[in-house]
Amino acid sequence: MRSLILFLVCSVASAVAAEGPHFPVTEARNNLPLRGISDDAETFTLSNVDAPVVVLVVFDLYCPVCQKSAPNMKRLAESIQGLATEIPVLGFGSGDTIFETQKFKDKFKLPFPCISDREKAVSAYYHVERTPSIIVLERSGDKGDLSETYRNEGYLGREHVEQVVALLKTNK
Amino acid sequence: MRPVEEDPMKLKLATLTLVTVILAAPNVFSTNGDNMIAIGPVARGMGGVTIANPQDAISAVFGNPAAMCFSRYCPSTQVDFGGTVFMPSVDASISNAFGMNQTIGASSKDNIYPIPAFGLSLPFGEDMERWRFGLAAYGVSGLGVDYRGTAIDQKDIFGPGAPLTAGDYTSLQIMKFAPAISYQAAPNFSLGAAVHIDYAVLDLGTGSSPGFGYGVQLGSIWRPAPNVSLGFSYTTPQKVRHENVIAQPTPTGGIARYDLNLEAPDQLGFGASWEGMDNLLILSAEVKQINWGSAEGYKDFDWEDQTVYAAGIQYEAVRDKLFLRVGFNYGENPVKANNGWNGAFTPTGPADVKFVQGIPFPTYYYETFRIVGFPAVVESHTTFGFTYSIKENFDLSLAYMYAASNDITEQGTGPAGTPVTIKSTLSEESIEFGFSWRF
Repeated sequence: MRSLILFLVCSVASAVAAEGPHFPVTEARNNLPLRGISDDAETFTLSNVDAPVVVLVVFDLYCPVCQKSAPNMKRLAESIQGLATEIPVLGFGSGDTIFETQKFKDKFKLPFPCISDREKAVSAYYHVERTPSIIVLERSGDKGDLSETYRNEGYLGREHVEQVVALLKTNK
Repeated sequence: MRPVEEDPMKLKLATLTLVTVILAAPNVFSTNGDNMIAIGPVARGMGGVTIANPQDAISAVFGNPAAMCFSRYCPSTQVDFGGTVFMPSVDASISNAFGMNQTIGASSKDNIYPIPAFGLSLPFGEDMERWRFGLAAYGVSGLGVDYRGTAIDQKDIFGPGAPLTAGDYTSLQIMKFAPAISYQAAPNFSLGAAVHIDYAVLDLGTGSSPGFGYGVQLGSIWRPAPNVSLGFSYTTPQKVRHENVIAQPTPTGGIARYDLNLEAPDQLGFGASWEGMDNLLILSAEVKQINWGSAEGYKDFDWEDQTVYAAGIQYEAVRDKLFLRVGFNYGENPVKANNGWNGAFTPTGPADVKFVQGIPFPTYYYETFRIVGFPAVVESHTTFGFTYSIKENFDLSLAYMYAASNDITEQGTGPAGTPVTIKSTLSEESIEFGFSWRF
């Protein structure tokens, strides 16, 4: 029995390591469509998102620097929405419950899906040590894997927003 | 892979060295009364503002233990080391002590003092963003003069055992160790508490007398908006008993030794801070009430309550790289100027005697001890400084403080029965440096 449990744990862990953490579709949608994910799917990974580029915003409700950065998170998402290419922005409440994540999204009127990452799976997978963090992932390689092309940890300033937008414009 | 382990001996040695350096610091300084305006180059560069929006670990533990994730990252651990080179300039004079309009004056010796400081703030617990532990060790208070061997140091000038002044050598140093804890009860509200362990050494020219005191500091921070912070802090009184620190001649020709209680006063502070220009600009201000007038020891020497006003600006000239600071701190001199006292000596003894905690002081020596020995009279402090981030997680900071010259003068009747004037002048400069490491 112990061996079976160990096998299952290892299998799940290796699956997570290979594809990245899984997230509930219902929570991610937040009434915003995520291309490439079927309506009947219960969970998805970032690899499932059908887009050449994905922008991750990692925050924590209890982090004052995240709260101060929130207007620029919103500004970043709005700027990205203005680009010709559809680029999904996904927020993750690192260590936050669903309620706390939604609280942050509502309080700062963030126009992108925000997902509770209570167990900090995203932070662990992408080696996020500090919040807030902005990570740009682009598809590359034969298998179209997502690889990191930009990261900012700490306060998100306007210049960081401009850097990300300039990068996305260059790579569109 | 085998985890990297700290050598426990090295850790113990480093801790012991740090504690020794802090305890050995001859911190004869004063700013707000005998308190430093702040600890470390970051807060001192901003005029000592620490209550609403501290910017480093030392400032957080010193000013308001409720400060949570104060750095540019969450939930980093931050370690700060700081050092102060303190350069007070103290002068005293006594005029007309013998009725011949003469003035005897001198400058106190030993004008440069190093003061180290250490601070740590780290997250802990399952939800690491909400709980933080802090620890700081620093020299927080001190005052003293050394006129030995100067013109003021004239023994037996008014007769056997009756010098020109009392308090020609004084030294008070108070070191504080403050473990602190804070809890973020809501996304925009945090509470904190610190235990203060004081180690104080008082020397009034007859040998140093150490003692310990204990107290608590409570604080809270509320952020009504992400860029607005309001802070509150209260520190309890902390009494230290210095045994056999006062020596008085007895009528039989002997020396009587007395204990003296010195109580660091309770303090109440309120601060506000605003951040603008995309978080590049921080404006902070605070007001602090220091109740010297009800603190044992200080009230006995006629110190009065003091209200301290401080304001500071930080501008991030280069994002995440260069932070410029300027500040101002004002606290009215708490040492009361008494006038019209009778310090004359009569054939049967002093015409008037003051009692301090039951210890008799001839009035003239009581007044000279207060004015010459403990001249904590500076009021206005101008500060500026900067931080430069050498790496993303490593900062160097530098600050300079100038406390404008201020004096206290009082008049009474001297031992010879003549109208005598006692005056002390104090100005201060200090250079602070430090580095911060986040991980």
